[in-house]
Amino acid sequence: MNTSDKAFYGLKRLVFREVMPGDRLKVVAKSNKTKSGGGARDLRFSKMEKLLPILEKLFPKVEKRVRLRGGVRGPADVRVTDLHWVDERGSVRSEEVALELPTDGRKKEPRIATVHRYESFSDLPPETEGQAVTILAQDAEGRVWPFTASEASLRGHKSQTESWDPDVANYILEALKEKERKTDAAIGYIDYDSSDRFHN
Amino acid sequence: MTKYSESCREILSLMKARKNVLISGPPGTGKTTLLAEVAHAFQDLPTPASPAASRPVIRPGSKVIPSGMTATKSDSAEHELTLPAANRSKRKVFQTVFHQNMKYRDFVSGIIPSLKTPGQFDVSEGLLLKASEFAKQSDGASLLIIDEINRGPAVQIFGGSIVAMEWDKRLNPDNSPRPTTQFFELLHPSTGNQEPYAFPAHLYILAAMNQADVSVDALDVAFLRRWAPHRLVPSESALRDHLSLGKRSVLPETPTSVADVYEALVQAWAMVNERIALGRGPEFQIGHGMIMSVATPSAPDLPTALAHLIASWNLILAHLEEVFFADIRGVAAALNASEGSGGDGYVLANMSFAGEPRNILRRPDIQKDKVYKLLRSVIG
Repeated sequence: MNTSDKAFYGLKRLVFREVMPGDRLKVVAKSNKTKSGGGARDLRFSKMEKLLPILEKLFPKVEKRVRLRGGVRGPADVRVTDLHWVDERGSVRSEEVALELPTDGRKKEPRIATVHRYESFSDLPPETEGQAVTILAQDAEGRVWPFTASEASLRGHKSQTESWDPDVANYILEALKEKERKTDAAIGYIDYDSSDRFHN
Repeated sequence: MTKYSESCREILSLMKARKNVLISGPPGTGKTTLLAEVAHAFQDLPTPASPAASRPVIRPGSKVIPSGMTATKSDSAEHELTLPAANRSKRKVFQTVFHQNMKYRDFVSGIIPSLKTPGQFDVSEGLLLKASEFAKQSDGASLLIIDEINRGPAVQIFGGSIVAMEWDKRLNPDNSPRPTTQFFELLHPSTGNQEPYAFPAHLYILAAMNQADVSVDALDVAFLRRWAPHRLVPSESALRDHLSLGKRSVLPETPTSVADVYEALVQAWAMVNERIALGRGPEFQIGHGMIMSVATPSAPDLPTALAHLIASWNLILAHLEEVFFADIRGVAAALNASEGSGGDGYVLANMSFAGEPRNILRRPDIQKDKVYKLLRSVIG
């Protein structure tokens, strides 16, 4: 499928999560603790009771995957979706991304595992632009598109070629500023279908 | 404004370009649902965006969710691009279903006994003529929907009007003739005279048929070429979406989750359809809508899902036996029955009756504790 400048689709909902310094290492597959590159490269979503209903809409399909649960390897439910983006030739591409449901070890945190394997998460803004967020946004056709944004781009800094929708930008900036604990990632969603929104 | 399906938008586009569209497909592929959706879309004129309903948009290729654009405007613009006669506000949908007793006089015009004055005759104004006259108004546009078009003698019902229905044989939007406009002789209801008649630019005709219906007249090539075809096929992805299933997965020996049960249902349905297409033809397949018509429990547990599986499987079996009526070997092949004795599935056994060899199909009881294994044996 090719796209054109004229094609645009209504935004149903989006989920955002602040990219912490440790997350940047995960994306490039470097551990923040060891030189071996080990460690969990998961993008975790806390506030499960708030986030999971929205994540289920973004990851609508349930599939069986072999996982270690309670020390036993066996089939476990994961939720999957296709993330879409436009490549340099203007064609829409997609890749399947799995959302792991809470496990025994992380009872309250659904997560996207092995984020370094996904092309969708590879394009982070430079740290010089301030705090950064990764956004999963769902359009009126149900397709999910990943975005990343820096504090500078959300504020519409003059170096930016395109400016963010003010409603989206202001709410994420508010979340970055007002998060409960500085060590926690800012996290939240805006659901335009239900007119509901939340951040920690 | 409602969001319309891809099929609906495609049909609107086809009607805009070709005026007449014929939807075909096996039963349960959503033909009648699509007719209703197009009828709704045809009358749904794009409206200006309301600030309260506006929302940001995603523009593929952009690095941001851009400012200064709203979705309502986008949806409207997109609908306006595909909607036939979008600049006409007087819009009406006319609907009919063809049947064996339908005549030219019911659909176009003809002489009928007068009910008001016994012994006298009137000239009837059929639905095609009504829709055509409505579309001839200065701001008018009509959509005529014909369901089950091949359940009546369609070629006879349309009569001479078929020469004038093609998109390039119509009148101009102001009803003036074009060099290519085709007229046919019509007994006009208002004058009672035979008069040359042509169809307006904004009369759209949408019909649906199931080619597997054998109780009706075949449509000839000359008739069919006047329609833009839109074919519907059984859709595994639609069924998977309906059952909240992901991509195909390997079935375990015994089901441990609702997803396992539904996976067995989808795979068995797909496999039976594959065999029907081979044995009888693709037009005899079972549409996804037939399975979706079985009420799906909202939050099923394993026993509820198994009960749902049994109900769905019984529906598939009933259709299968109709498709392969009096062909026991055909039913057996579609069910992957083993010959002789056998395991968890269907068995095709050889018997003797009055000294003659006979085949019978042994059908296991369809119980909650057995149906999953039964379907695994059908999948093969």
